[in-house]
Amino acid sequence: MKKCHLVLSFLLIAVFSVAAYAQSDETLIKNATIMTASHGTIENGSILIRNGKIAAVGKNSDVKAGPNAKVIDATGMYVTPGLIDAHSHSALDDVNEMSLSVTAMVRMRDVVNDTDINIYRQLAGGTTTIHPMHGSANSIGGQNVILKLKWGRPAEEMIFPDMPRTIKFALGENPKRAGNSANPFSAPGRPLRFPATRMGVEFTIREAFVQAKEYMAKWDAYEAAVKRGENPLAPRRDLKLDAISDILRGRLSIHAHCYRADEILMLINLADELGFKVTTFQHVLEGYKVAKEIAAHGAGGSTFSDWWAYKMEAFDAIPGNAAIMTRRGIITSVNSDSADLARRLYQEAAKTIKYGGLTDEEALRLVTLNPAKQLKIDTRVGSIDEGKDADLVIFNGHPFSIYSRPEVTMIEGVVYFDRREDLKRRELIAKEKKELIEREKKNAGQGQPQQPMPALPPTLSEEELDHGKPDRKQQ
Amino acid sequence: MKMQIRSHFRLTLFLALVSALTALPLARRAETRTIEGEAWAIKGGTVVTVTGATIPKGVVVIRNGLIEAVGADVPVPADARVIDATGLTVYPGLIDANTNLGLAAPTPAASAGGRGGAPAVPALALTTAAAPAAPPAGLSPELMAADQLKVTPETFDAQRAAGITTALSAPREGIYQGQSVLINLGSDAPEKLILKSPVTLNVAFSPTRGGGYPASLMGVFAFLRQSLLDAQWYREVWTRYNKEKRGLQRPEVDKSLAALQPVINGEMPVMLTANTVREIKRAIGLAEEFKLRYFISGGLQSYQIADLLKEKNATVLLSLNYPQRPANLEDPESEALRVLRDRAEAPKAAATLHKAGVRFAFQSGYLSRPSDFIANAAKAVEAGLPKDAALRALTIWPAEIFGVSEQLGSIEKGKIANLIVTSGDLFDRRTQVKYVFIDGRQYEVKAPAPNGPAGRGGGRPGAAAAASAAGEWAITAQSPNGPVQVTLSVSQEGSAINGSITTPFGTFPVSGRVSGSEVTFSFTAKVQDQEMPVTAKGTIDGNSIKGTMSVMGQEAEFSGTRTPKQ
Repeated sequence: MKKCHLVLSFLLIAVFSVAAYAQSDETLIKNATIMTASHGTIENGSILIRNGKIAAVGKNSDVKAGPNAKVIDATGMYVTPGLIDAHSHSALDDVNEMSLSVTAMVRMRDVVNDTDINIYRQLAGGTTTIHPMHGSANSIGGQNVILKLKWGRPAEEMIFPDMPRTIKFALGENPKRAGNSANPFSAPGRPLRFPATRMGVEFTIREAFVQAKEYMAKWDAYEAAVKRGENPLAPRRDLKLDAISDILRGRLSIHAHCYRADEILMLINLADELGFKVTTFQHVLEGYKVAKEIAAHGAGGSTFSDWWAYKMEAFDAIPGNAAIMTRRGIITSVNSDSADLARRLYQEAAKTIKYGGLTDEEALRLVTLNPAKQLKIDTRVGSIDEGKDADLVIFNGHPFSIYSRPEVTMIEGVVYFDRREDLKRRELIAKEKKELIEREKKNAGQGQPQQPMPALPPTLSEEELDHGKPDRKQQ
Repeated sequence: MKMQIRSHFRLTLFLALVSALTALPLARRAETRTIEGEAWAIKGGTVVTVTGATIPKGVVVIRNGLIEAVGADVPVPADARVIDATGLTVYPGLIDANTNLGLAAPTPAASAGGRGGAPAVPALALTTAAAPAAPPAGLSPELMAADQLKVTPETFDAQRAAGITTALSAPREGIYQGQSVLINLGSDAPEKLILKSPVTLNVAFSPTRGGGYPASLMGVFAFLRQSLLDAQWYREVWTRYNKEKRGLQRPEVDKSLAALQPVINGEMPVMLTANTVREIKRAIGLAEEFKLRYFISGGLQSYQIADLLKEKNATVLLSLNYPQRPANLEDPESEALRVLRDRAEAPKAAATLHKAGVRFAFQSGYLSRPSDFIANAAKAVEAGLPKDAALRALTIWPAEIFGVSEQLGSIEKGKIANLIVTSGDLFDRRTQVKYVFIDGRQYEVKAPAPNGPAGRGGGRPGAAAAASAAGEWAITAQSPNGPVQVTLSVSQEGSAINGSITTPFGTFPVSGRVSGSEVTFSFTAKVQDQEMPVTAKGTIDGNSIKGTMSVMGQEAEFSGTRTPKQ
């Protein structure tokens, strides 16, 4: 009898899960204008989503869904790939390890803040993947993380599947600030730190790689001895040199913060000398001056659309930078470096059309396929192609019109932002908030105010460091 | 050869002399503990044994610091002093599972320094060849809380008055905060209060202050990983050396890495401070990466992942320092729903953990008023935690977690006589602690200071340590022109104080705040139409206050007392 029950309940579970599966299995977005970012724009198009992947994309007539597919009628709407922000500091509990000039051992994946409201706000702007980076306080910074903005899911589920590893480098003014007592950012009491000049930055990077090579040689010798059947003592593991060795082995990609042409050339020369590659130059505001050299190195460029003159090294920036780099064959993206701009990446991309004469598709690629390539995640995301993750944004109009806004943002076929749902939920949130506040008022006086831990001395936010806009409320 | 023998002899003589000298004070100190053969019988009360059945009218006999007998029909020894507990309830003394009680004030964190003159290797105090002489505070796993104990007869008055007789204590600064000690909250010399040391290595994920590495949260994780890897390497180096010393260079001794050996070998648990879900997950991740035994300390949001904690077989030392509404919140709407929810849910956490079968014990989480420890445990009961579980989380569970359940945590024959006698149910607001025994010695339950912080329903004794500035203070300030009498009259809401100050020049509005025993306030005096801003900073100790006032760059010492309420 008991056994019978068990079998029955198993059957029931099976039946129900199949039903649930069939229901949520397929989604069809139809009657949309689809901007694929890889192969042009499809009018009156459909996208079939199955198991979180794009199963088919094409004209309405060419895409067939099963009878149980959930259908989204996107008549009058535009669909783009989920937007990708190649330079972010959102969703992190901390940004800069300021104490040392080489902090390759620190990992941003250890400090992902999955409750950062910016995740949701950026989803509302169509952004689905971000690259939260270590700050630019050090010549060699920490290891970055790549996140899918699955709001409501825990950090470990947001981390990009089989995440390619990247590391932050920084050139120019920021990494040398901490070495200069005269700069307005050096906090009182904070010890001065080498380097204080651009030459010092170059030396710091070279020294780190030389150390890493010695370290690798030690390990090679150890492994050779093990192979010979000896029982040697393993060298001491050094997490910092482990990381830099991984750069040399091609397992860790460099994303180098930079501004000026001279420092860009410096790093390219250093890379050639020491035998590593720069994957992407970040900011790279003078990239247009050395586009040929960047392209020859095979590096990408991730820049701002039109931020300039916020500090000395940003004076020669031009809004045509992204377009010029694109035309010179550099894989180019525009990024936010800001929790605020990350909500309007499509507008950042649109500016390059005005200033640089890029086509719609070229501009769209700046915030989709190109950053995906820079992050080495383009086999999964970045364009609307069969087999890729169903990370999609449905805009109520052309994404490059300032009157347009995302209506729905989905990641792997799951809707994480829906404007209509959002409007409905606001009321519920306000109500719950009100109730909780009322209840606290009623219970007031029963406890005592907590004595919080003394606050940490303020650390510089990346925006302060980079753009000189002290706003301590920001991360 | 002869020389050697002679020096040996001299050494022995010296040692004998030393022990003869030290034996004297040791013997004398032993007397203060319990009078030899001192016996007590607590009779007629409801005895809540925790581990066994509750005895409605029971007798507990205490002798030589231990529970000699407990039961309904236990005869009262002829030599016992008898406490008639009719109508009262006897409980085992309560255990606070994480505090920094009895420890000397922290030393300010030094800077580890960067590259300017410091070693070129990252300033890992643990690993640099040329380690700085004094590593920055909070990076030293070898620090023993037991060595830092400073106890006066009054140190634990407030805890005892709240029924807390045992506490785990460790410094609360830094990353490697030190190795904790379990102490009885008596007034003996520290070495007599220690029940177990070390118990845990306490770790918090808080960046170093002052600019040294690690100065960020990700730096903290990298630092911890590197130091644990170094400890593993140290183990390997010494294991090899100890196996065959001949022909091998002697490795360096590193006290930090040596102190980490029991931790990486799984002998000593780490206590990881973690409150939010992500903090807890990160902490568990690190512990699993290095196969450490661990306790989660704090656990504010642990209820949200109760099933995961159960699956991991994790232990939570749940803080009863519930988050509170900030005292001076200008706009209540400005707080995120998430923050409001955290506050509303906090008292429910224990019930959720209990339901999921997660092993836990209560800790005060550095609550400044010990009486709130029980009051907040009562809130957990109101929020659905069975009373029996709440009591266990204050007694036998922490004893089990810390490996002292043979000695503590229940009223059983042979256990340490840590007992409290209350006027009623422990979780009733009106209940008062009447008698406290620690190591079989009776301690006076000190009544709360008048005007002191309100205890639970006014009945439970409050903490002398928790400052309240409310009331009327008669203060004398030593101005350069002689003493000036002023009257400060303030009310207190949270940490904010407001009121007025009456001076020879008039009465002026005053405002300020209290933090711990420190009080700061300011007012603007108007003297002959000239405005003179005055700031004052002082320390409250019960009903007395003293400090410094500063007026236009001039400083004046002041002191005063609180006027008893009529």
